[in-house]
Amino acid sequence: MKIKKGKKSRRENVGYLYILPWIFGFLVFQLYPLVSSLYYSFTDFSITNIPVFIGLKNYIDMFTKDPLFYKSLMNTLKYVLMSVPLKIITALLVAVILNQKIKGINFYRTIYYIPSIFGGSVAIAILWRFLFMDSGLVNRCLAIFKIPGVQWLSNPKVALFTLSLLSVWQFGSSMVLFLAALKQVPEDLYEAARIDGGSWIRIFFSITIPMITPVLFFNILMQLVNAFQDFTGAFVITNGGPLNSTYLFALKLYDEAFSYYKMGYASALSWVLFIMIIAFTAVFFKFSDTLTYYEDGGDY
Amino acid sequence: MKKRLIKQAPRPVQLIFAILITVMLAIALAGCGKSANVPDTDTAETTAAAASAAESLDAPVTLRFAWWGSDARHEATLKAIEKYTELHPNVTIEGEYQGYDGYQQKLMTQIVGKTEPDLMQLDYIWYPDLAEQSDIFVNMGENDKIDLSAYSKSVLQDYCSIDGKVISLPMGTNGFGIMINKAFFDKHNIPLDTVWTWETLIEEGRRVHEANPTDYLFALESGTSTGGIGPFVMGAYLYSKTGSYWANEADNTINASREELTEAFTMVRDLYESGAAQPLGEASLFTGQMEQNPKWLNAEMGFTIDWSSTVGKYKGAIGEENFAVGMPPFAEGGNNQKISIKPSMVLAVSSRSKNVEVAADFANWMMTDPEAAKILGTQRSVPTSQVAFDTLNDAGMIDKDVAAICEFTNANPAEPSPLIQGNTEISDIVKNICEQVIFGELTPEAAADKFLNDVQAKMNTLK
Repeated sequence: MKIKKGKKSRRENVGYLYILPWIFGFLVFQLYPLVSSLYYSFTDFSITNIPVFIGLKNYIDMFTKDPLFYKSLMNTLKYVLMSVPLKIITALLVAVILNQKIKGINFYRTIYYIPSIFGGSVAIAILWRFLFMDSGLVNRCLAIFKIPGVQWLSNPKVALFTLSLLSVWQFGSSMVLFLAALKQVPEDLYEAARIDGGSWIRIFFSITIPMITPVLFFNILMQLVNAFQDFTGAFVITNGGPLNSTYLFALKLYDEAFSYYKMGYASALSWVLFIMIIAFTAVFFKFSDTLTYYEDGGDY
Repeated sequence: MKKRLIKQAPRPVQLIFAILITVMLAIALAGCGKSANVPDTDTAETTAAAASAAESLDAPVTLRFAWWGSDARHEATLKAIEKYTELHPNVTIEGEYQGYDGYQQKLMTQIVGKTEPDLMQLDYIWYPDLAEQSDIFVNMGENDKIDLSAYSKSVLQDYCSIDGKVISLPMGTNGFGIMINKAFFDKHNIPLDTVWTWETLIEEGRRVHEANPTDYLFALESGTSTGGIGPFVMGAYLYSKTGSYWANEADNTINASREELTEAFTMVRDLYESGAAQPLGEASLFTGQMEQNPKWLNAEMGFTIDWSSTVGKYKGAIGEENFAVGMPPFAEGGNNQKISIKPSMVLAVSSRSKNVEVAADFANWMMTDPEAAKILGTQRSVPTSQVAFDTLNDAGMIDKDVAAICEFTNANPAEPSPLIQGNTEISDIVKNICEQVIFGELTPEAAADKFLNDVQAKMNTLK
């Protein structure tokens, strides 16, 4: 059969045309800023001057002369380690509960998904502040049950946890993915386990979890990458306080760039963040090789 | 024979989907429209006037004007803009307004990106950062639309010039004082005309808080760049006690001694430990918006400290009958009781604007026209321009509380504070040390050492 070459290459050209806007956007809004920030990280660029090349000075100063660098790093690590597991576990549990064939279950699924649509926007952050301030709604509700109020946002030891609650509240998108994954677990596995007399806990940990590990892996990865870059909550609600306990790395970056006008230093900080996230995800990928099970033996 | 591998929807359905997606895209893109808050100038008058403007010689002009403030000031300014556009129907002025928090960062970024508005409200303490770019501001002295005779020469020289060039117009003169919740003072039998020292504040505050654990005599946030415990409490205490500012701009050193600093930090610690001040973490949730603190609204808070240009928002929140003002606290046995004074804000015009003449004309009108003065009132504190001041004074329109603050401030005004004290990085270091003292992480002595060490180090790198 004669292969119609002409038609095929025309098809390809049209394809390129369709993705041209995205390519343009990628080059201008992602690749160019990425490369130029790498360049700026080796310069002293105080936003009102032209950049002056200073080599590795920014990176050295970061690790030797900046105590808030370590503080923000620690805060961010604590925040990630608090919010990501909590979020994943909540999403999974709620997905399991909502994975039932009862009437109106779609309504409940929608309700639990809605918070993640609102996201951690400024409006929600302001709402969070009003909920958790000392005389806020949460403490008032606790008072009804005669439970003493907690200083959710004004105690340095608690504030970071309250912020991570904001992140956990948006578990909806992860939950939806888990729901989809749960539906993929073959029924016959459950049947076999029940016949063999397995308790529901045993079934959960030996069948359900292993079968959904690909989605589990994806969710953890996405949440990890996002949690490292969280900014809005810390900026709007507490602005890094009290006592810099909620001073996240993204907030430090903002201060250096826009309050102190040290663009070169801020670029260096952003690259350190980038490398940190890559390191975490690389470790995680390695870790997951042994732990995830793909039904179709996929080599992703 | 060609076989369709993927089942496709029938043609009409495809068409409907295509239309739907296009409509959704259009709606989404509309949401990314300009973020400027356009004032309600679309009244019948202006549209009718615009029709007749077709005959006028002036071409249609659009200006952008950025300022910070709270609702009271926004309303007054928008009304003034409306009035000007009535008189000059070819001009449209878009207001870009917000609160103080984040305003400086946004404006600086706009300036660097060459997208700054035509008219910009500035705080004079930002001049060091803008000094390298001073030619982006119109030289007011050389513009024939600007009448500089309305302002005192010393104000123009001290607060409105960079390198000897007058680049901005002073909009108001700020006095400094305490914003009092009268209902709270009545509740706790505190006389309104009490002259406070930090020491009596602590004692009285302790008494009030012990009598009523939900009540605090004083509340203040950790701080933004021009306010909070750093400058208003610690800095003010040092200035009042020693008679001079802690920063020595001339030789880039710290004037305050270790003993004086320890004393200041001890006072700060006692202020919070005694229960006189609302816990810092809680108060800091209302940085830049203390008038929204529920304690202020519910008369569970006695007073806070702020500039006279903010009287409007505090008074508006609790009502005129519940509001009073007073002098700021001094240090007991201190060397001076001078009160901070500064221009509330200044107005600059971008020299890169496409409509410099119209912008300058509007700036001049806003500052020196009697009609404008009446509309703007004292939302930017007492106007610095003599014309505006006289207009308001004769009409009895100067807010009595703003006037009171400015009166006692003018009776004993302080010299301008060294700009390095207001530098953002240094302010943050001072704020952090104060917080550590308040939360008990540092003793006052250790804090004094840390202050001398860290602040000096930072001053060295900045010079």
